[in-house]
Amino acid sequence: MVGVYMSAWFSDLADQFYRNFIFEDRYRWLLQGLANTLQMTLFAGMIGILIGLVLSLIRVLHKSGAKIGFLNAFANAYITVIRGTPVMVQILIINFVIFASIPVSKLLVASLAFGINSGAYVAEIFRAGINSVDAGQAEAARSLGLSYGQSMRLIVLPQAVKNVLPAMFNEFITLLKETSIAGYIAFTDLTRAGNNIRTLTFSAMPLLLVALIYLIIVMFMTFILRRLERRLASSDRG
Amino acid sequence: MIEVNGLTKHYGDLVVLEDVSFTVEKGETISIIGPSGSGKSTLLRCINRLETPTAGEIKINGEVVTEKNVNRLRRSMGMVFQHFNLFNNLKVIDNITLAPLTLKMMGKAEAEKNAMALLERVGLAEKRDVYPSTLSGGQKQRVAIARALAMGPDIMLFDEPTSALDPEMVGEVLDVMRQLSDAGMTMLVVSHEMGFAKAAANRMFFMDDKKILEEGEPSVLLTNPKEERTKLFLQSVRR
Ligand SMILES: Nc1ncnc2c1ncn2[C@@H]1O[C@H](COP(=O)(O)OP(=O)(O)OP(=O)(O)O)[C@@H](O)[C@H]1O
Ligand SMILES: [Mg+2]
Repeated sequence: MVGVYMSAWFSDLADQFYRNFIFEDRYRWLLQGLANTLQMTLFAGMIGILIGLVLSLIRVLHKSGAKIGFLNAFANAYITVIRGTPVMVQILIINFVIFASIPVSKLLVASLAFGINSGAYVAEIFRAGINSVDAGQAEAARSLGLSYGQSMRLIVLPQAVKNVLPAMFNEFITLLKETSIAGYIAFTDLTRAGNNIRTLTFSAMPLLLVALIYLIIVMFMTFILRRLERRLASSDRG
Repeated sequence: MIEVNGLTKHYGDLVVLEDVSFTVEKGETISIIGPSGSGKSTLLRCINRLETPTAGEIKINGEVVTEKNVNRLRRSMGMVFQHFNLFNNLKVIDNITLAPLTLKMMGKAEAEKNAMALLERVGLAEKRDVYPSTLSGGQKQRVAIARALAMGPDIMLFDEPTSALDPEMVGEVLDVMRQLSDAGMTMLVVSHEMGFAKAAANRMFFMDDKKILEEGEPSVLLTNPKEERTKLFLQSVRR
């Protein structure tokens, strides 16, 4: 009896697998979605780093006495607004309000939207990183006759970058997962691709596989992060 | 060599230095003592403008220190900090060559040769390729001194160079400072190492009440202070 149920279950499973992934080459939809997700995350990450670096430098320069009150106010407002509103709302606004009548690729819109969002968080990470470098480091550099810019570039920033690497990695992992809402602006990322199949087959399989793919990527990145942390801990700090 | 005129420093409402004036001649070693919070560090930091004075002027080799010329004048003033402040991201040799190379005062070969000669002088030539975190406190401070000397300064400022060190390492740092002083370096040394002051300093300043309260030859000031506060302070550190 049990054997009959089992074989029925297996043949149902095989049938489901066929309908979800093989029929009409549907696995290709997922591959294309995965490629889109990875590209979007990478571009958004780079945009985020760029924005974050600029914002954090503005705030640090302002604190050290540079006369850039206007820029600083802008940076503060940016960070407050982005961190104070849901990322979902932000991408909807960027897509349906700002880019409403501008014909650009969805990849660009999505990357920009998530990059703008990530930038605010990266700015906070960088700022904390710069502040984590002992003020004596910059003072020693200045006391030798180096300019503010030179001591920042040669002494403070290299140490700050090292201090923020783990946090940056975490931000990147978060970003990867957050991009799963890109479907709401009609960008076919991994999640959207899986859901597209589900609407045809009414099967749980495509979304479960999507979840598994995200999990594998995140676990891989976490593994890299752990190794990185161990290497940093055993290197030249102190 | 150093002329301080009417130096005043406030932090908000807190007055740390009030109308401080003195001159230091070339080759002099000045020992500065005084209770915690009396403005010793602030005085040194105003001289190389790590702090901006509230009022007064400071001349180095006859030139008034301003916001404009400070980077250039700092090259002629080395500073040694209580907590060493070696660059954690650079090896010992690179700590020493960074400033001469960045400021294009020497080529790479010359800077490294100069750095090795200085490491030799502070007895740490074999440490050229290690990171600061692997050094003991005394070794760190000797590297910090070498780093400051690499710029070929006329003046050296020391802010409690031995007070973060374990007792057995104080001597090695004081020895290096003593050699520098004997070799004719102009030095301002904030330190409560009275033995060093007696042996190496030409004059001693006692700071309290926002100014240099008493000044004299170290052996005289230490054994026979005129001011009541100086007496009290010396009793408290000898305790
Ligand atoms: N950046 C700052 N902001 C506000 N107050 C400060 C600052 N730096 C120093 N002070 C204050 O100025 C006073 C003098 O400080 P300073 O460090 O010059 O004293 P010091 O004689 O070197 O003391 P110590 O022996 O403890 O090193 C102290 O009351 C200190 O709290
Ligand atoms: Mg002090």
